[in-house]
Amino acid sequence: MVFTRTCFRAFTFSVALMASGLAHAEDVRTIKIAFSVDVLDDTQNAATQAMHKRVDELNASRKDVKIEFDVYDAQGSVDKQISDVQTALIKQPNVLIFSAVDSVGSLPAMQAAKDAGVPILDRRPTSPVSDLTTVAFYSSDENRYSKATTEWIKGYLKAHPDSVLKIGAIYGAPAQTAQLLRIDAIKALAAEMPDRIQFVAEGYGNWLTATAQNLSQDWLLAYPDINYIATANDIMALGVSNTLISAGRKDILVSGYDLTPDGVQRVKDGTQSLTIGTSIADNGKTIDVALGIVDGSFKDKTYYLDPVYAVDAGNVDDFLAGKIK
Amino acid sequence: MTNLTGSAEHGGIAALRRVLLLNKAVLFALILAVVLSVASPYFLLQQNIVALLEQIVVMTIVALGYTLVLATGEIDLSVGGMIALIGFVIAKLMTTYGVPVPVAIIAGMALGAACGALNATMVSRFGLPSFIVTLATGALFTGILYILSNLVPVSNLPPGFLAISRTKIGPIPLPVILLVPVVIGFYVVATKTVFGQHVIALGGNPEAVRVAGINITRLRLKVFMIAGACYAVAAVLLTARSASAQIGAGSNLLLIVITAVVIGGTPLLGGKANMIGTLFGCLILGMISNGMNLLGVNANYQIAVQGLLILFALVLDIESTKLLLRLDKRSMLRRRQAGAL
Amino acid sequence: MTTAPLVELENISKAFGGVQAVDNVSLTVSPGEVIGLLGHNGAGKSTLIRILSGAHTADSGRILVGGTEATITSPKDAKAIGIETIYQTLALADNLDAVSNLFLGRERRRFGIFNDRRTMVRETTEICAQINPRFTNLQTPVRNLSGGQRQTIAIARAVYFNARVLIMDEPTAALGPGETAMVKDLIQQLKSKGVGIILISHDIEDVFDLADRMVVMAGGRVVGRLNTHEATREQVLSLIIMGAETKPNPAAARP
Ligand SMILES: Nc1ncnc2c1ncn2[C@@H]1O[C@H](COP(=O)(O)OP(=O)(O)OP(=O)(O)O)[C@@H](O)[C@H]1O
Ligand SMILES: [Mg+2]
Repeated sequence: MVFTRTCFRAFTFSVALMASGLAHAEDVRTIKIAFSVDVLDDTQNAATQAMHKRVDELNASRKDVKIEFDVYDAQGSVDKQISDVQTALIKQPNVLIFSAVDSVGSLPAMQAAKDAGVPILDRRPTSPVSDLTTVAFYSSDENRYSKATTEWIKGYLKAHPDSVLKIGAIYGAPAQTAQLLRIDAIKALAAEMPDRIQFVAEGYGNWLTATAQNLSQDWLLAYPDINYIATANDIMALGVSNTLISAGRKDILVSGYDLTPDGVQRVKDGTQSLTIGTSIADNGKTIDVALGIVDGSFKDKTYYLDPVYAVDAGNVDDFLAGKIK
Repeated sequence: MTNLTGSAEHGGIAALRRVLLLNKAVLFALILAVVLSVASPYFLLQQNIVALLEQIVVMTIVALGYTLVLATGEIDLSVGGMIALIGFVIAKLMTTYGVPVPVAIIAGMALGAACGALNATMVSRFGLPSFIVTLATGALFTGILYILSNLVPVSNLPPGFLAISRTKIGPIPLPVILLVPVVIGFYVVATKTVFGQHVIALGGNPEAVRVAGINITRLRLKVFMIAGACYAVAAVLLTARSASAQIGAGSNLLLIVITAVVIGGTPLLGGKANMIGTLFGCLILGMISNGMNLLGVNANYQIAVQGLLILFALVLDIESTKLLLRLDKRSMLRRRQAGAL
Repeated sequence: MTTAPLVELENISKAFGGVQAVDNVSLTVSPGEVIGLLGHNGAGKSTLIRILSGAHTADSGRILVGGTEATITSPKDAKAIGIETIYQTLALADNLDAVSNLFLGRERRRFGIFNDRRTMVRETTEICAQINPRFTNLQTPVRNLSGGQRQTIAIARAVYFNARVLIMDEPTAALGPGETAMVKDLIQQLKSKGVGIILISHDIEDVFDLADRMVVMAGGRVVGRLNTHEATREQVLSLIIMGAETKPNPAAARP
C-alpha cells in the first residue's frame, strides 16, 4: 500500500513536471534524483515522504529546475537493491541517494553508480566512509547529540541553582561504541562541575525496556539520592519511566534519545523529562544536499542533519505543533 | 524418584549431602544470598526482595516451560522471536482492534501453543533436529513481527491490562503471586504425572520410549505447545510490565533461560526435569544481576562476573554430578557387601 | 503341532535402503512352543522379530494372529495383542530406574494422570524377585546397573504383562551362568503355561535345550527349518555358517 502510494505520487509528479517541461523546454533544467532505499519501513517511509514533500516545494518555488524523484524499494534484499540501481542508472540520474541494505552486500550497487559517473549521497555511511560515497549524510550525529545533552543539562542547572544532579546512566550495548558518547559527554561535564553533577551508577540496558526497568528498580533502592537517570535511547527511557511510575516517584529526571513518537508523548505526559534527536520530517534536506551535489554548490564530504532537538516539557507542545504544521 | 534410604542408613550427614548435591542450585542460591546480604545493606530489604522476585517472574515462567523442552533432549531457539511476536499481537489486538483483555491474553496463549506446535511438527514430521527447526522458526517469528509492526512498538495499552503488573496484594505484585501455582504445577507435572515420566524417558532413550508404545510425536507436540503457552504468559507479563510491546522484547531471554535451567540441574542433553532447580537457577541469575546493581559493580565488570559465575555454576553442576555418581556406587557396593555377609 | 498357531508370519520382507534385511520369510508360533531363531550376525533375525513387535513395519507380507490378519503398525498394537519383546538392545531408558522402565508406557495411574508409584514399586519388587532374587536395586537409575540386572528388567517387563507370545532377542547375552539357568527355567515355566516363545540366541546349546523347532536365517532368508529332536549340531552350525547343510537337504533349505 505504501509502495503504491509512493509510485502514484512519483507518477503525478512526473506528469506535472512533464507538462511544465513542455512549456518551458528551453530554460528549465531537469534534475533526476534516484533514491534506492533498503526497505520502506515506517521510519524510511516517513523520511521518504519528507523528501517527496521537499521535491514538491522546490518544484513549486524554483522555476529554473524541475526535479524528478524516483524511489526504488529494495524490500530488504541486497539482490533487489543491485537490480534497482541498475534500473535506475538506465534513466541516467544526476545523483543517487543510497541507503544500503547491507554495507558490504550492497557495494556492487554503489560501484555500478560510480562506474556510470553518478555521484552518491550515502544515507547510511559506513565507518570509515566508503570511497564510493560522494557525500556521507548523517541523520544523527553523536557529537551534536552530546552537545545538545550537555546544553540542556547546563540550562537545567542554571534554572535550578540549588540542585545537584546525582546521575544513574544506562548505556545501550557495550559493543556499540558510538552511542557511548551520549553518556560520556555528561560524564565530561560532571568532571567540569563536580559540585553540580555526580555519577552514582552506570549500567548497560542493552537497548531493552525490561533490562533498563530492572536496573533502575535496583538503583532506586541502592542509591536513594539518585535524581536523574540518563539513558541512551527512548526504548530504555520507557523502562525507567515504568519503574518511576510503579514506585510513585516524580522527582527523578529521565532522558532518552531518538525523538520517538512514544518518547515525545511521554515528555508531553510528564513521565519522561527529555528526548533528544533529529526529526524525521527534516529529512527533506536530503534533496537540497542532492541538488547541491548536482550543481556543485555542496562541496563537503559529509552532512549532518540539522537541527538537533532537545524536547522537554518546556517545548514539547511547540514541537508537536511544528510537526503537525 | 531417587532412593534416599540407601544413604540414610549411613547417617544424616550423607543424606543431607545428597539432598544438597541433588539441589545444588538451592545450595548455590543460599550461599549467594548470604554473601549478598553481608555485602549490601539493601539486599534483605523487603522492598528489594519483592523487586528481585518481580524481576525474575518472566524469566522463570519461560524457564519452567523450557525445562520440559530440554528434558526431552530438544532445544528451542525460537523463544525470543516468539515472545516478541506474541507480545505485539496481544497489544495490537487490544489497542487497534479493541479486543477485551482476557480474550487477547487467551488468543496470545493460543498463538504461543500454535507456534510451539509448528516447532514440534517440523521436528517430528521431517525428522529435523530441533536446533535447526527453531533457529529457522525463530527467524520466521521475528520476520513476521517486523512485517506486522514496521518496527514500531505498541503503547497506550488498556489500564485493565497494565493492572496485571501494577496490582499488588499487600506488598507483593500480582505476577509474583501468579508464579507460585505455576511453579507448583510444573513441579507436579514433572515429578508426579505419567506425562512427566514420559518426557524424562524421552530425553533418556527415545528408542526405548518408542518401542514402549508411547506416541513420541504426540508427546513432543504437547511439550512444545506447553512451552509455547508459557512463553505467551511470559509475553503477557513482560508487555504489561513494560507498559508497551517492544520489538526487541525478550531477545535477551534465550541465553539467560538456558543458563538458569542448566544451573538448576536439568542437563542440556535432557533426561531430567528439575523444576525446583529451575526456579532457583532463575533466582540465582536474578540475584547476580540485582546484587551487582546494588553493589555498584562497574558495568563492564558485571558482564565478566556474570560470565564467571555461570561458568562456576556449570562446573559445580558437572563436578557434583560426578560426586553423586561416586556416592551412589559406593553405597551400592556397601550394600552388596552387606548382602554378602 | 496339533494346536492352531498363535501367530503366523507370512512372506515378510523388509529392506533398509539397499539392504534386504528380511526376504520373504514365513514363521509360525504355536501355544507352548519355543522356536529357536538362529543365524549369523546381520542375518535379519532382529529385523524380523522387530516387525512382529511393531518396532518396524514390513514392506510386504502379512501377520496372522489366531488365524485372522492383524495390523501391527506400532509397538502398542503388538502389546495389545499380547506380543511382548525383549529387545537385543534391551530398550531401557538409562536415566530411569527399574520400576519406571518396567512400566514405561503402561504406568499404573491414579486419577488418570498421576503415577501410582507405590503400586508399581510393589509389583516390580514381586516380579523381579521371581526372576532374579539378588536384584534389589529397583530404584537406582539403570545406567548404574550391571548388564545382568538390566537384562532382568527387560525380562521382567515381558513376563509381567502376561505375554501370549514372547520374543526374546539374545536374552542371556549379558548373564552369568546362574542367571542364565534362571532364565532357562523361566522359559520352561512360560512354555508350560502355553506361551509361544521366539528365542534368538547365538548359544546353540541353549537353543538345543529349549527349542522345539529351529529356524535358521542367512542373508535375510530362511535357510533351514529343523525339529530339535531330529537335528544335529553339525547340521545347524553348517546352516548358520554356510547357509546350507554339508549334506544338502533341499526340502529344509527351501526359502
Ligand atoms: N535400522 C536399520 N537401518 C539400516 N539397516 C539396518 C537397520 N537394522 C538392521 N539393518 C541391517 O539389516 C541387516 C539385518 O540386521 P539384523 O539386526 O536384523 O541382524 P541380526 O540377525 O539380528 O544380527 P545380530 O545377530 O548381529 O543381532 C543388517 O545388514 C543390518 O545392517
Ligand atoms: Mg540382532
